[in-house]
Amino acid sequence: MKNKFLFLDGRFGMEPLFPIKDDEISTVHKYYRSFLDTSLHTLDDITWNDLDLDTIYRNMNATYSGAGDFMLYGMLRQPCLSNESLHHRLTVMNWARNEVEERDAVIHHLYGAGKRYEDDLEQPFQHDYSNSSRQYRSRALVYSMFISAAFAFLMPMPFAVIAGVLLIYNIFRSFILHKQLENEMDSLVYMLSHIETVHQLAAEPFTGLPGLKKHLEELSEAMHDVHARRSLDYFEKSSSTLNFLFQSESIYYDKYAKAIYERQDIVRDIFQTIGTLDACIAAASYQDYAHASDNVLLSEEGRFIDATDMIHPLLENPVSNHVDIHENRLITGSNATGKSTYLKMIAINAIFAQSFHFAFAKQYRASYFKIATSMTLHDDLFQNESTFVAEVKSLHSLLELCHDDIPALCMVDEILRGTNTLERIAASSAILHQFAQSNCICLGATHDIELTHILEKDYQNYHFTEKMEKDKMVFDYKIHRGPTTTRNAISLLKILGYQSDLIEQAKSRLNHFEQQGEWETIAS
Amino acid sequence: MDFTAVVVTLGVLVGIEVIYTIYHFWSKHQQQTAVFQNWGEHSSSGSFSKDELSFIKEQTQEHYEPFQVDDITWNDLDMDIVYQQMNQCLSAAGDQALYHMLRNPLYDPAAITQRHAMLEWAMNDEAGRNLIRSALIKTDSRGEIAIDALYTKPKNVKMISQPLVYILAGLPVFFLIAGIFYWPILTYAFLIGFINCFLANSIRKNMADDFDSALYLYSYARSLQAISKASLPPFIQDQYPLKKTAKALGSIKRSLFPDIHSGDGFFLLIIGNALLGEAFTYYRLRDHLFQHRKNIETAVTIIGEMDALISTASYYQTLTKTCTAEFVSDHILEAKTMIHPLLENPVPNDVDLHQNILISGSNASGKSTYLKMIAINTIFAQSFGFALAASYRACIFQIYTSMSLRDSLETNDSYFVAEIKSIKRILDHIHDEIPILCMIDEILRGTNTGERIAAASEVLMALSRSQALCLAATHDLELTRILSNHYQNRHFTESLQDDQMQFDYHIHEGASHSRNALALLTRLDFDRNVVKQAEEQLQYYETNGVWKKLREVSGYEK
Repeated sequence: MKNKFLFLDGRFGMEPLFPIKDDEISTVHKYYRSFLDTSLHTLDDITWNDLDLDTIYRNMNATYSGAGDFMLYGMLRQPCLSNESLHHRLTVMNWARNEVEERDAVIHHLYGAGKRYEDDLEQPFQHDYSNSSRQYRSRALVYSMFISAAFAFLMPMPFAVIAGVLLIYNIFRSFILHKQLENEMDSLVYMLSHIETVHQLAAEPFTGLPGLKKHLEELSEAMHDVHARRSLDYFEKSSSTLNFLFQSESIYYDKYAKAIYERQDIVRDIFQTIGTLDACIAAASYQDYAHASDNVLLSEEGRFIDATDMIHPLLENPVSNHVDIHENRLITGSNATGKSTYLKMIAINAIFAQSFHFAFAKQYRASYFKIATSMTLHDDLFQNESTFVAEVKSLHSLLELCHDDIPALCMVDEILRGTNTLERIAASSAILHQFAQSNCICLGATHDIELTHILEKDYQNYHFTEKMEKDKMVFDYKIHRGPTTTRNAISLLKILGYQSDLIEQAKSRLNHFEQQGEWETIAS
Repeated sequence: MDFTAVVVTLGVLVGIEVIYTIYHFWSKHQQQTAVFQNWGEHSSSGSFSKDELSFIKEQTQEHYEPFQVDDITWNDLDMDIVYQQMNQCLSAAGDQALYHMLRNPLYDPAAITQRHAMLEWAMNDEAGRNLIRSALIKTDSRGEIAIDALYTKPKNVKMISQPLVYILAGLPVFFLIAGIFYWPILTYAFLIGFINCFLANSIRKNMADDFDSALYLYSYARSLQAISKASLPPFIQDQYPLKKTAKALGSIKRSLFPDIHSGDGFFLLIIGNALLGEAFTYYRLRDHLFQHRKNIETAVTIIGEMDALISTASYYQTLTKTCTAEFVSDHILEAKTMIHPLLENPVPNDVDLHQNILISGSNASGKSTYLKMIAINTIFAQSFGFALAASYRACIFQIYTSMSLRDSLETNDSYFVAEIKSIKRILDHIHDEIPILCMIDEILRGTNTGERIAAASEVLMALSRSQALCLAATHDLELTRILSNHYQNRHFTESLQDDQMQFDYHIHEGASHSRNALALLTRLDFDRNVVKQAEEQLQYYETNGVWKKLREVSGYEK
């Protein structure tokens, strides 16, 4: 049993064995709420997409059970806000790293639980589809068929016919029930295999995790009569001859669907417990794989981030930056110099630190934050919303987040870029000013150099810059003090192969504007 | 005594098979009826997952020439959704052909007319189209099987060679016949049959995909033969070499074995396995298919095109307002009351492009939708010869858009770089023989104001000097003045009624003069103070020409 799946061994600290696909992530996204405590602080969809957390989730997801998929997603989505809740995850992660043999055994059990990405995950909770009289009918039909078959050797005439008729009837019945129960059956098997995993896990030692061990034992005890390993094997061959003869599918279905429906609180608890265990192992594995540092210290007091040599985990050749943020910041700089990456890097590391107690920095000291961003919004044709409306709504929800005892970490990139210049500057200065009056650290990135003057009392100015070297633009991707002084849009046109007369004209047009204060109309 | 038991058992077995077979045909018939009834209704079969879509794209790319509509344009216009909404294809080849048609609008008006004629025929000749569709249903596997998997390389089944399969399949039959003369030999028949059942299982594991592909290609050959027997109008007969291909494919025969693949027939399954039915069929089909690969390819193409066009005709039928596109040689695009196909309550707009157009206007007032509407209808017109409008007159265009670009961390391009590259690709085509129709939304929005206006005006000037027809949308009211001699100004607008923003989504002459950003803040429940401060700030700038510095705040107070 122990080494049934050889390919599972030695995967700790490696990339995921079965990478999750995009469609599967959408299913997880759709259903994760039913397995989580929704009252906790949860990252919103905008933040999730802004930070490309789908990719991070995919990279991290070395879980083996369906519950692990959901809980890992949930843990990324719900960063902890206090030491207490983070502590439990940390002990499990340390256990996974230190107790190699126990961990490998646990992974085998988790793998047995299996994954499934269909739209009926919650179904066994929603309705009691079981039917106990159907169960007795099934059994009666099967028994009488076999008894008459046995008697057929003595008295063929009536009994052979009865057995034959029953056989036909049973085959039809199981055929129809199979069609009827097909979907329900799959989601039921999914639950049952998780319950089976709990029984197996309860027998493992879990050195150093007495609380988890005890909880698993309690869960196993609560489900002691649902022991479905053998019947599961039948289900896997459910279209086989045996199913036709013994009606096994419908009998087991009726038996277990009832048990799960009646004890769904326990089943949810099982999902959370197994899933958290699986997710913590995956997180520890990812930490080793990606060489993240556990030199993390989180404080429940204050409002700050101090980190040395922080990097963005999704970049291939990341440039490290020191982060020492105690106040609001406004970041200016030309295009492609690294403003957005800087904001994303800080937010992603804050999420890692608060969810899994590691970070991509030599050292990470910070307070707990509620994290929210408003960065790469785009038009939504079907909700009939323009970028601007989406952006205003997202800023609105960001401001709502800032009225709480726990400070918020707000990242705003190219604030209100969806509207005309004058209104943009007026509105964004007022909104950023409002952020300054709330319990948050706000990092804003903008192209509007005007804002650096308007807000210089509330916001520290920082910038990214580039150098021109022999017709090439060189970026250092490092953050510098003070507002930006360079502009590179037109030079970028040149580098990316636009015709030189177009560029010359654009430059002279800009010069004309800067000297005269107004734009020149092009003659026909 | 013995005799009765044997008869009863055999009777039971045959009875089950008969009932099953009836059930099988009945459900096939139900399926067919459902397909026929779906005609002219919104697609129920056409929704794909992301993976399936990229599979279709990949397969289409392998099968046909490169795409005319590039990825940026395709994504800007949400063509994946359009594709799914249109798709009522019944075969994988149809899925690909439809994708190919949408991605490659035609440049030859005669070819467009021909396609349109096919659509008209499919709409009007119900009997004819149902005949083709019932043949198409027989190619019932959709999506996952690569069409070219088989005829590019005839593979052997890993564990078992062709002669061995023939011997193992033949032996039980031989012993059965021999058993008539000397019954104990029957034992050998059952023994080998039994061994074959086990073999069949592991063979299936090894070659499931190849076997499916073989059957699949065979089903195309069969469908084509069925179609070729239908009486189709002469213009379709001329267009596709139906009879010729069907005749050539006529020599492909599958083995006598029952349809193990699609049926779940219990006893047939056992008999099939005992005689190594799958492997036997595979080896027979494989060589035939490889010999006829040219014809099979033709069959797949013909069936794909017919399926795609019939599916489009069904979509065409769902539309309430359509017209036949008319093509002219002048560089214009004229349409009356055109609508966007993806919106539930679309607002019709007239299109009148004789020269380049610059559209200004507030947020959410419908600028992007207008641009997308025109581009999608142009694709429809050039792919299928119809448009969602009361009339459509235009020349043949290449279509390029640069609209809703996003940052890409992987290629390390910022929003702005992505945008510059995307506009560059349009500029690279402006001197092509076929004029381009380009849509640029919020041109160069990813950079600072000064440089944006300077660069955008030059890019738009370069476009206006070429023979391209360009529609641009912008927030920069400055551009409307700078380019007033080269671009006609149009705008979208809104009005405030009872604290609510009302949009009419109609295009108007001239440049925009209203602003609604601050008004939108109020409408979206922003704090009164924020809105008030923004209004003050704006007023201060307009009177003084400089922005007011904001006072220092004392930080967060609980």
